[in-house]
Amino acid sequence: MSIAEALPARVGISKRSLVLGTLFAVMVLAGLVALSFGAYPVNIVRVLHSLLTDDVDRAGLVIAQVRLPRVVFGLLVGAALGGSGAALQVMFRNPLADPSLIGISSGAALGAVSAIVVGGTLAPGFMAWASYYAIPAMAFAGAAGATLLIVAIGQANGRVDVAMMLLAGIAINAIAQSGVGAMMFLADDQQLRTLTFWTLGSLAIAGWDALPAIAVAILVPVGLLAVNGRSLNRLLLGDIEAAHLGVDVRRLKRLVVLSVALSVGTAVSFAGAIGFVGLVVPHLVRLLAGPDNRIVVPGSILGGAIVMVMADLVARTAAMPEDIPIGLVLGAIGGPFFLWLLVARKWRVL
Amino acid sequence: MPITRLRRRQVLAGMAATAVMMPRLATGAGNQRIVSVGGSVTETIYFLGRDRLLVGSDSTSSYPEAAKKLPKVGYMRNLSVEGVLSLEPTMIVLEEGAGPPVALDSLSSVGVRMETVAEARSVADVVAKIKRIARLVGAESEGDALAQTVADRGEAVGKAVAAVQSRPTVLFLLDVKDGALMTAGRNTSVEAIVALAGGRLVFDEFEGFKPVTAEAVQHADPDVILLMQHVGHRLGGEDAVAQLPALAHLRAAQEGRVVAMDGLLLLGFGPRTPDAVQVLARRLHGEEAVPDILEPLRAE
Amino acid sequence: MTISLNQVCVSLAGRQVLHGMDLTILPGQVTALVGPNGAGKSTLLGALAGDVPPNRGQIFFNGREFNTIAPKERALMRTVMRQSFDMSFAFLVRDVVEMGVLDHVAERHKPALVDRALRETDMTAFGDRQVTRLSGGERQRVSFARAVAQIRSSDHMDCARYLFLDEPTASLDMAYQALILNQARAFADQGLGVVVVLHDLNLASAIADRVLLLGDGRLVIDGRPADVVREDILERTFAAPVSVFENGSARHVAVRLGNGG
Repeated sequence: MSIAEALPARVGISKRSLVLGTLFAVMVLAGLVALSFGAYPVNIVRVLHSLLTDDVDRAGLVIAQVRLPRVVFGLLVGAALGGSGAALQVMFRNPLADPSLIGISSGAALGAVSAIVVGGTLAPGFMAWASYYAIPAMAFAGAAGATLLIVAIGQANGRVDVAMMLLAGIAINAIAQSGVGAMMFLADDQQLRTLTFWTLGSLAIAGWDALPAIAVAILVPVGLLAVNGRSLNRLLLGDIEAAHLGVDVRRLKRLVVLSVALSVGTAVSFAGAIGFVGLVVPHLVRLLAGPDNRIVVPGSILGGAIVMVMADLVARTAAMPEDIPIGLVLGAIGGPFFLWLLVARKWRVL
Repeated sequence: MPITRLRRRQVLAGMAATAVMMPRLATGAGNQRIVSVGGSVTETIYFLGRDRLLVGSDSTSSYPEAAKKLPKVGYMRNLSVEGVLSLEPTMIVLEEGAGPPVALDSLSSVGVRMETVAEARSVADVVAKIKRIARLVGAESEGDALAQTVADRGEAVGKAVAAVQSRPTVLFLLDVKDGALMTAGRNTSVEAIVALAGGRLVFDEFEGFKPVTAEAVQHADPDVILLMQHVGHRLGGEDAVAQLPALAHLRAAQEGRVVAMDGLLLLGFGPRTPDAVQVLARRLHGEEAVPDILEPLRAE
Repeated sequence: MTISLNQVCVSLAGRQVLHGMDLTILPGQVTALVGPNGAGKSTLLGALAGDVPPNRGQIFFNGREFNTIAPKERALMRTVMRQSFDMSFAFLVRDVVEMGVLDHVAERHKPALVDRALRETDMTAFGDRQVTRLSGGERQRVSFARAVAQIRSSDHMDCARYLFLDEPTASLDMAYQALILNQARAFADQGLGVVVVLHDLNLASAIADRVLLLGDGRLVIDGRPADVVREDILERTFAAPVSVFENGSARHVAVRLGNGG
């Protein structure tokens, strides 16, 4: 079945170390490759050397202020989407789950489009003070609001009813999307373009200012998800079975939802609505190493980072000097790839 | 991984060094490397004879022909930071509305000089725009001369238009999407140019660009349909536009009063604005009503 | 240390399922829960396992109320085998069995525990098969192997431990029915309190030290098999013509078909 099963060493912990270690190494490599290419031509080795020896030239500045923050941001966004996708697939006990199911993307879109379209008229003071953070802040508020609403609806007798959450998610998504539509109707041409580009997604980020906060808001939640692999495995057996095996089911589900909301909410607020990674990366990791969440969750965090940073490399360089929206790249490559995956599974090739 | 060993101090020191270097490069006007963002900005720089300073422009810079051959840095509202920087500009001249904000922030954080030029909606605005750009590129005297020429031409066309009695209503077709027509309302560059040409937008109940229904269009019954040439090409030409389901029953469509004009010329509000007004006015009111009084203004 | 129920009432989805249950479960015994469908056997098992809080009355587990015992601690004290489990991912049998090995066990000791559990339940050959591809009966056996793993990983506990089995023999061949029930007996002999819900009164008579007969959410009778598995009691509770044959210490229950007796 899975590629790692064919490996001679199948003893628990060394398989985990092997897979995660490999993924980590690939991630570092991917980061360095992404750092080496871009519209601005640089010799990366020379640049890194010059940065370390306090001898900064224009190329070094471009790498340090423009490309490196973007690569780091890409790794963080990918980590958030990959890890959250894996955790949600466990919580919904469905390999087709994805962060958009709990309203994050549509809530964020509603927040963002509100900021773009009516922010200037309804809250000009806030918009001016927050400047280019206004859209991410509103997007995050939208994402958090939608998720909390869905979770609240999904709570019944102190239990997190996943089926209810799914239904609530559908309803909230529909409401948010019509809200977005209404805003688009009110929008003028320029706002519409801004919104379109936001929706398609972009990892462009202005310098390092926001990155420390983004890093904390992403790495802490996905880290928590990564260390709960064993409990997530048990959760797959069923809520009651998991409780029999010592899992505090209510606390675990709350942890999953809040971690997903915080990490993906942050990612999506700054990068726009990006899909696919949360759905496909956990699949790939499972294909590679089996369904054990002690490997799948951290593996998806690393795998998501790799996919994101590579997709952004394509987005930045395929049509130089234009930036292709990353949503298009992921869709154009991820879509057919996922289709192939499903078909290959069906024909039992994989 | 090197990331962890980057010191902010080093980076800031580098920034400061570059920022210090910048003005020295800029004051030698002949050594400038300029990226122009916005078709009318690029166009103006060509008219001022400073096009040799240009190292790149955005994708909306389509006039003159030579401008199309400049290295491109993306669409005006979706600039690529590294793309701009790879041209090693000393200054970026941007038309108001360039973006995205993230890219502009990024560019300033690297210490590149960014100058924004305000949007123009009248001949007076265009004159101010020309003078500002002229100052930026060190062509003050050419700028004053060009501004005067444009002002004079604007006045002449203005007089010709004022002499016409009719005030035809105009439907501006920005795009057709999913059967809905995107059209222009108040407070748009379209309204401004149509007014200068002695016309009136058929829709003035809303601001900006909005979708309208076919019924609303039918009810409005415009005298003329106006659109940008590239949109017309995409839809199959002026005849095809006249046959679009949403427009086919309009008087204007049936009588062949569909006007397609180059987008940059029509809405750019650059030095060729008086030319645009004349062309549009002649199409709106008829060639007898508006004489061809201007020698075409061309950049080399 | 026992599990004691004191006037416990449990309702599910608004319906009162158990009424005023008063009973005590002792370790070192096999207790069978029998009764007609809807009598509340599984609900009672769930209450004993701490799954469902009573809406009236108290349940004391080893002297403590359930809500004072953290989930991890509960897992050390009681093991549950339910009729089925979910699995939509490609876990292997040994992976599912390993989920039963409790967290305090060191990683390096886990494989041995899993192998032992597989051996004791005759599932070694199934170790590397995907659970999603097993039949219902095979999955039940996996469930049991997991329960065994859980019990083995709590062997060091000196408080009373319990094993709850809900219809463990439902889809199984006789050989495996015997295996599981014999193993349950062995656990009881080792000191666990074993409570098993059984449909099959023959099996219940054969294996149980004590039989609890439930009817309509109430305890009809609580006693040794010889006292409970009797024609008059069964006919009344099950509303069906029943014959009970005794063969030494074994009892055989059969429903009388056709007309007349």
